[in-house]
Amino acid sequence: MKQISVVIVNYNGVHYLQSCLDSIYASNAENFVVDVIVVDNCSGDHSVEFIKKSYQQVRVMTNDLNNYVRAVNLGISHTMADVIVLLNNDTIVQKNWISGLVETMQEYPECGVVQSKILFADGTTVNSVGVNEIEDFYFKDTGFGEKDSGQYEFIKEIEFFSGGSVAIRRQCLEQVGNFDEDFLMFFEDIDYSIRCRKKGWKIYYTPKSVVHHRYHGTATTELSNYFCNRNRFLCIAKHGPSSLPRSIKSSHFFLNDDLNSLYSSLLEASKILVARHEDEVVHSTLCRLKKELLDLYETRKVYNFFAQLELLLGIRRIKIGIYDHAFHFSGGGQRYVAEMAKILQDKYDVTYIANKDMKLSQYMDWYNIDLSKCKLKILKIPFFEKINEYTINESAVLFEDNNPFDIIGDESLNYDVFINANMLSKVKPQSIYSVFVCHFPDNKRGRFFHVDDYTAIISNGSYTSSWIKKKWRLEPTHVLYPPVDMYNTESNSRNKKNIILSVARFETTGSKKQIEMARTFADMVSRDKILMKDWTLVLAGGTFPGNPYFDKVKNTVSSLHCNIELRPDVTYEELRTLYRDAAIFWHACGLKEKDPHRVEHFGMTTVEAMQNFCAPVVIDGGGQREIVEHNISGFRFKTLAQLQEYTKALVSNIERRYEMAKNAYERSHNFNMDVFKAKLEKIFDEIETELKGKPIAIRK
Amino acid sequence: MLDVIRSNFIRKIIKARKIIHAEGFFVFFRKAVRRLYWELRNKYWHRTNDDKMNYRESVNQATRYCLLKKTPTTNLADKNPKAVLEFLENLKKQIVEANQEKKP
Repeated sequence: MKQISVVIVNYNGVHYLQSCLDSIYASNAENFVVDVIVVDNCSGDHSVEFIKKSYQQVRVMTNDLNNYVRAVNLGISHTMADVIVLLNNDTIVQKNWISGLVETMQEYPECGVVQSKILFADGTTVNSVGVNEIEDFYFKDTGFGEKDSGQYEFIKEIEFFSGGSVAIRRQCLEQVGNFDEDFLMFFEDIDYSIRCRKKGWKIYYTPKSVVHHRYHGTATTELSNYFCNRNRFLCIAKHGPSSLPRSIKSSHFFLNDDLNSLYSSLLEASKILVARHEDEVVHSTLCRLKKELLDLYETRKVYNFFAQLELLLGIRRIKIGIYDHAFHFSGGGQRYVAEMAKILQDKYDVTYIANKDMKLSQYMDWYNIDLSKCKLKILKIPFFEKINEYTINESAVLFEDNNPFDIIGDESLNYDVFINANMLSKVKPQSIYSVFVCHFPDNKRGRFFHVDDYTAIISNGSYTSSWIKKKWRLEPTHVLYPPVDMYNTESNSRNKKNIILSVARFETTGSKKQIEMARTFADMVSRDKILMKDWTLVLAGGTFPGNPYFDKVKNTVSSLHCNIELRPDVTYEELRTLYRDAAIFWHACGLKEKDPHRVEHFGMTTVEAMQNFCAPVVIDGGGQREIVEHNISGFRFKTLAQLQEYTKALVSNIERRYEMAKNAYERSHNFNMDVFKAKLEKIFDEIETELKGKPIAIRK
Repeated sequence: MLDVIRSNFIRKIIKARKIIHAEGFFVFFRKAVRRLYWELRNKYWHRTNDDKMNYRESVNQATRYCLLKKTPTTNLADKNPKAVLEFLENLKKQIVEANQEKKP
């Protein structure tokens, strides 16, 4: 007896399978050894369990991803028969279905593929008796929708077959190869028909084999429309590359104004075009494609099309441009960006864009970060050069007709990913992918406000995110906490001195509240002299000569007559020692403030203290809420009375302080360099997928 | 906060006076009206991320799955990547040049 392999791909079709499988065994299967293979395409229903339970003679396989063509290939790879039949799961076969196919194949030795007569489920209307090209790579099922009144009752050679019910000769399969998995679903049969004929095989239709088909039983109409149109471009790129440019205007994507789908489909098609055809064909086709695209899209988008094609072909690395208008100033925001650049420079081509003369080596010295693989491009903004402003302040742009920052926007076109690292909201990004890094939404929406145009917004914490939503009505895409790395192996929770530490700049506006903290400490000492007698408050932080606020703090401290030390501009080593020795950490920035900008947006010093086993007592506001869990890894106070109460609780109960310091240490790991690096890499992996895509078939 | 408002306001007044002095009141008035228009436009008629999200949501899930998230496995095989890159770079250059010619 002749052996026949039947391959059925199933996706959430448990309700079709019983009738389909029963009909196969009820046809004249007794004359053949029928080996049925069902390949499950990541179904969410219980298809696999159902088959295993009800049809033990059926072999079941599971595909590792939802790709119809890949599932077909998987099924075929497990067949052994000389004739392999592909059948849709939403069909019911008629008597003599198998013998009809096999007999035709035996009758015509040059025949590589035979297609059955496919009727709709009503049994009287024709679905397909072959496929023919209407024009311009548009195909139609022959006989579609016609009443079956005997007009197709003869065997005939056809140009293309429909994969709904088809038999393939093994010799043909071996010569032509597998179905093309890039198609995912639809059009793979057209592609295969063309390849068969190129190899000299003929394709036949036979009315002796009949199936009833539920049209689009598995795939939705929207899904089939999308894939048919996308795959049409892929097919053209493979088999008729010179027609690609003129096929745009006749595509349904173009006619339905779905320019996004058109763009991505053409990119994929162009990739196939470049990879498969001679240089001459590629060059002339791409030049004509460029012209067609310029009619449809703005110049920037067409430029990005070819840039993205380079990435898709894998012929160069992703180019990242990091713009920092305050590059020539030293600050926390710049350090945050420098850490980003340091991580990204190994994998991508990173270029810094700055507005004032400066050397990258100087920048590296400031932050002690190796950025040797990065490049620096100085791009002076004529507007600020003219007014001789050293600070690039976007609020200086008041009544100008043209946006002075357009020069930066134009430059961004040279990069695949443009990162606006210091939240200059007037820069319009032109790159394929753009990232707006926001430390806090300082500006209002105004003229030349372009944050809406960025693909992604990265905020430095949930507090900033909430204000981006409130002020700009935008949803941040990612939260990326600043990396904090102040671990000290000498620090532990028990080896501490009676020091309460505060680390914050002596801001001229007094927003860090050093005076309030000093007064609170003095009040605590005066109320509880015995308990507080060995305790010292250390106020450390940066200042500058002639800082009026620092002088004010100094005067206040000297008038309070208690153990308060002022440590302005401490060195890194001194700071490490202070963190190591301090038992309690205070942070009060944002106390009694109504302006959200004056509340600490994140609070890196709190994390630094926590990494050194300091028990934190911090303000209940801003970014501190994300860092310190109240009563677990520290305390959060709303008033100065609460600050006193919580501090007293820690001073009087040493065991509790130890426990809280340990919890704080554990908590601090959420904000360290490893977490920052992992999150940043994850974000850029996603960006890379967005730019380059992931290969369709990934073997597990 | 008051300081910030005051300093912004003073800066605007100084700038306005400069423009009136240099270019006349009419030019200043035109610029001021245009600025006001942009301020209001950006405040009330801007495109928000919600709109973008809605658009993205409206695209079928499987369609989005294929919008370049999955790309053909084809590789360059025997092609010279440098030559391909050179050609594409040249094409991009032509696009930029053509665009610059269009600009007055």
